[in-house]
Amino acid sequence: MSPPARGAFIVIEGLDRSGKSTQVARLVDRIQSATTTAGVPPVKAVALKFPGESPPFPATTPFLTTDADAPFTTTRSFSLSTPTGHIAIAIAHPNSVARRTTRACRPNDSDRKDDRRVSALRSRARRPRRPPPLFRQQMGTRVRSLLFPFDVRADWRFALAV
Amino acid sequence: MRVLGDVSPHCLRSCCSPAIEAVLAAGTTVVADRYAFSGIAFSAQKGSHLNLTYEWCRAPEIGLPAPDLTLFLDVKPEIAMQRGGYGEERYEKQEVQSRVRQVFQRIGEEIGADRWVVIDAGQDRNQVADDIWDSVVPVLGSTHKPVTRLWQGQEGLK
Repeated sequence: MSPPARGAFIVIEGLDRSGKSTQVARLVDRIQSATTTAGVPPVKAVALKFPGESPPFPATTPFLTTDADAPFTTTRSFSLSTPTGHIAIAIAHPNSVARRTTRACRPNDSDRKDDRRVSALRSRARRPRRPPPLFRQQMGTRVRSLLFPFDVRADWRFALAV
Repeated sequence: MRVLGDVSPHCLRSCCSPAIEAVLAAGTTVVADRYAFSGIAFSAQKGSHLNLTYEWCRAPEIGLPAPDLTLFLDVKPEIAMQRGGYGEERYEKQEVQSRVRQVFQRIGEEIGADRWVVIDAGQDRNQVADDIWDSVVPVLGSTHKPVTRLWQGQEGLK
């Protein structure tokens, strides 16, 4: 069998609790340990996690700028601009990714912890405060308050000075 | 830290496609734990009342690097419910999982049986690993063709 021209791209999908993380780790180990006696040449394989909403997430720059024979030699964190905002991303060394997926059969693997963290952040997210009544008026509207029992023109500068 | 919404993951995956191709070109096999299909399934199951139709969710994923093989670990939601820790995640509800499963089935039909293999994940985990391996071995030795694109050039794509 001639050596492959490129690596294979294999995806494991499934519902929650279908055992994806466990099987990904096992498959990576199995591919790497495969020998020619099994009819398959040794292949370098990495595990890649595609979370929907939680870091770490692989990004373009470290992959493209790293030497092909020794990719992912460091753990990096950087930010990425997306059409919906600017987010921080942490890139872990692939070995650490593999180790994490290897431990993924534990009840508290990182995937689930990240999911809980996102939920917690959502619940704690600050909602915009409603501005005081004076700010809610159109500029120039006559307003009256207890502090100033006479008509004043609604004006942000005036309100800030008060 | 910004909490991402339903749209961002689709955009992020697009950012990653050159990275995947670079790694593949270097001769490294990539095993991905979820891919674009999960994004489509979990977003589309929310329904059209959120303007997250199947077609909308699929649109940003068209043209991404297509996996040589996708292994769908199929397990009935009622069986998954019996596994430890079920219910801890926000989507781990039987009705949600059932809808997600239906979307996955639709995706599998579009991808085609040659690249989408359904594995019975209700079996013993060693048996599941063996079934996966049986499907993966032919793929490892047949990566001489360039990486193709998801849903690109498919006629009759709705």
